[in-house]
Amino acid sequence: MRALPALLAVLALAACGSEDAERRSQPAPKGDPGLKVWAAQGCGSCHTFEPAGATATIGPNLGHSLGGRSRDYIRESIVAPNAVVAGGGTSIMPEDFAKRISKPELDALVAFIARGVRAR
Amino acid sequence: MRRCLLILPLLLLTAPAVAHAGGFATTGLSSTPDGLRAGEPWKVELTILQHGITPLSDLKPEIVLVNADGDRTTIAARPTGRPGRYAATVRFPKAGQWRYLVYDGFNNALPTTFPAVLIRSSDAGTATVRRPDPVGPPGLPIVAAGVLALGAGALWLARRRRHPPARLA
Repeated sequence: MRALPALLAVLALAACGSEDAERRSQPAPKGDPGLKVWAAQGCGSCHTFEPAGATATIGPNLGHSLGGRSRDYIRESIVAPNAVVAGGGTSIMPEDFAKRISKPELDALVAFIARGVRAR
Repeated sequence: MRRCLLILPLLLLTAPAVAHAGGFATTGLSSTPDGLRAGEPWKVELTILQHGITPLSDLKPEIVLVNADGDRTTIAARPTGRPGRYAATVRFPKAGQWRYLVYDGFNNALPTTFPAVLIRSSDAGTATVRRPDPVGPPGLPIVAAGVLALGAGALWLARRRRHPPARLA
């Protein structure tokens, strides 16, 4: 009988895990402006980012490299990818996104990525 | 010298393949297929840039649609005449959840993938399409966990009534 709380905890965790997997397999929110900018700029050709359904491996997995970072850090990573390069070296990411996309588009993209990585 | 002349055409023939092998290109989409119905056209323009910078012409990009049943449809994009720009008219053949990916024709080992989309039924009005789910309804694990927890709780109460804990004097 002492095992009852443990059993309940396991059941609750199983339910949460299943819910998480469910959320991952669900289609992206319809009409997310940040996702539209992501798709328009071809971000998914280089990065893995689960909320965008992207699995590319040219650049870093954003879920790892931007997880827990601030929105300002994410913004800087887009417009000045060589400002801070994890592990040193030089980024091969184009450095002209500040010119390519408007500020509202950049805001939407930053918000979309921040939501996906649970930024601070 | 003759050998050189023989090798030269071979090198010229293989050069594009070698050049593509290590390179990559980014593929941008002018729109995403949100809210479409089955059979409805999605007119999309692809922008393909080598290393995210240089427009690439003379490619044969393709958009591939795949659904949960494994149905697969391939749509070729055609050049628009502008460097690096290709156009396609895509129709999802039936309702349900679809994934779509783009092979840029430059390095097809690296397709660009996008999030799944729900394509609605082509039937009129308010018809809704349930997302195909191989493991059952979305809330099933939670309901099952709840039922099990209730059962375990009831069992525990019944046993407790039958065998009340010994009281300390």
